[in-house]
Amino acid sequence: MRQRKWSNEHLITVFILPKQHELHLRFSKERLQMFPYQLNRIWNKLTYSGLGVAPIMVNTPNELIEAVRNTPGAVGYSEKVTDKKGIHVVNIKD
Amino acid sequence: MPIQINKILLVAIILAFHLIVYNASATESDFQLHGFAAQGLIDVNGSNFVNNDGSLSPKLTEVGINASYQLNNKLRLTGQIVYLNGGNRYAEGVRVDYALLDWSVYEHQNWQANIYLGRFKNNHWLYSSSRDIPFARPSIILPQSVYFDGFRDLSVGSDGVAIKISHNNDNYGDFDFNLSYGSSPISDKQAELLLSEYAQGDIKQDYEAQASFYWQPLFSSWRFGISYLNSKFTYSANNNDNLLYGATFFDEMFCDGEFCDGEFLFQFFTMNALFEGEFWEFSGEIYQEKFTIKGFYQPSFSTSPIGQGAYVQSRYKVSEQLTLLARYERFYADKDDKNGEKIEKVTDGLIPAYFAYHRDTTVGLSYDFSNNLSLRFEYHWFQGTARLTPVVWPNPIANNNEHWQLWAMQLMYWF
Repeated sequence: MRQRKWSNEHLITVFILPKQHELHLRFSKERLQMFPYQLNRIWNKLTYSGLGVAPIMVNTPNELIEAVRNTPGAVGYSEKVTDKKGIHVVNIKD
Repeated sequence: MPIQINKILLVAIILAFHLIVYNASATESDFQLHGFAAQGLIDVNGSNFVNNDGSLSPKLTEVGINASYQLNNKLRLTGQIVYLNGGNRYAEGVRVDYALLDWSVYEHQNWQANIYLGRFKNNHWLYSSSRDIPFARPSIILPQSVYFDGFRDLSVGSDGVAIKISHNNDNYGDFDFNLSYGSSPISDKQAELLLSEYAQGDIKQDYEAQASFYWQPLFSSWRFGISYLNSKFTYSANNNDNLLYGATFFDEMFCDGEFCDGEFLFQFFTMNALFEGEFWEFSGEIYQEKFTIKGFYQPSFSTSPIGQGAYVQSRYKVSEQLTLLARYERFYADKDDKNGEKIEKVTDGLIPAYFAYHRDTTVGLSYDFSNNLSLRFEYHWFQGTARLTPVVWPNPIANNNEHWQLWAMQLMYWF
C-alpha cells in the first residue's frame, strides 16, 4: 500500500471515494484490511504535515473512473466499468 | 444489478492505459492545494492557560493552507502557512508551518527512503505532526505532558534535515525509522512563555536532534513507537546593564538586573502505543524528560530535574458521525519531588507545591457532519500547574489554584 511508483518509475496517482461511501468502506475493510478512519489518519498526516501526498478524493464512482481515465499512472476502484476505453480493468474475486 | 458482498466480483482496480505511454509533463495531480479553518470557544476557570481574566474566549482559532508540487518522480516541493490564536498558550500570528523539499532517495516495493530539507514538522511522537491540525488530532487540547503548548513553537518542527526510512516486511509488518537535526527560531513571545517577561536577554536554540522508531506488526491493530530528543538552548543576559563574573562553564559570564547567561539542555524520551479497532481506539504515551539548567538564576546555579508523565486515552465510535473521548494524564516536573514539598521549601513558599505536578482528566465528543466538517467538545479537570507558562520562572500570582478546569468547543472545516 505504501508503494508510490510503478516499476517503470512513474508516480502512482490514487483516486478514492468519500469515506462514508459504501464502496470505499468495503474496499478499505475487505481489500486493504483497514478501517476508513485509519486511512484518514494516515492521509491527513501526509497531507497536512508535508510528509507526502494523499489520494485525491472524488464524489462519485463515475467521477472516479473519469479521473483515472484522464490521469496517466492513476489507480482507483469501482464496482463496474461499462466503458473500458483508456483504462485497464483488473477484476478482483473473493 | 447490485453486486453482493462476499460474492464473486467485489471491486475492480482500474489503471490508466496512459501509464504505458506516460509522458512526464506536469498534470493536475502534480499540484495539490489543501487547507483548514477552525474556530472555537474556550473557557478556563482558575488559571491563565488562555487568558488572564478567566472570561469565555474565542481565542481558539487555527487556519492553514498548504500546497504540494511534484517537480519530478524524485522531488517534491511543499509548504504550509498557518495562523494560530490560542491566547496565552502560544504566540498568536502567522507562521510558516513547514516549507521543504521532499527527496525520494530510494523507492522499492518493500523499502522507501525520503530526505526532507528545509523547515519540517516533528514526526517523532504519536501526535506531534498533527498537533496543529484540528481534525487530525484526538482532542482540542492535547495531553500537556508530551504536547506542552508552552514548548509548541520549539517542538513543532525545525529548520534542518529529516530522514524517513520505511520498510514493509512480509513476515513482521511495517517499520518506520525517522531521524532529524535542526533548530527553531525563538520569537519574543516564545521566550516569554519559556522564561518569563522579566528575562530581557536573548535565547536561541543551538540544535535539536531527534530519532524515532515505529513498528506495526503484520495485520495487527497495534502500533508501537519510541522516540528520543536532545536539544540545547543558550541564554545571553541583556548586554545593556550587566556584571561580569569569573569564568564558569562559559569563558565569560554576564548577569543583568534579573538573570545571568545560561544554558538549557533538554532530553526527552517517549514510548507510545496505539490500537485501532473498528469501534474502539486506545492510545498512550509515557514520557521522561531531563531539563538541565546551568547558570541563568545565578552564575553557579545548576540543576537537572527529571520529569515524568504518561497518559492513556480511549475513543469509541458510537456511529459514523459520533466519537466519544476519555483520557487521563499525570505529569511530574521532578520525579524526586512529586508532591512539590521540595520546590515549596527551596523557594520559601514563593512557588506553591502544586507547581510540581499536573493531572488532567478529560472527556469529550466529536461529531462529523460530513467528510470535511466536524464539531468537537471537551471538558478537562486539572490538578496542579506544572504545565502552565512561564516554565522556568513560574507565575504563582496568576495561577493560584491547585484545581482548575476548562471546557472548549471547536468547529472545524478542511479541504
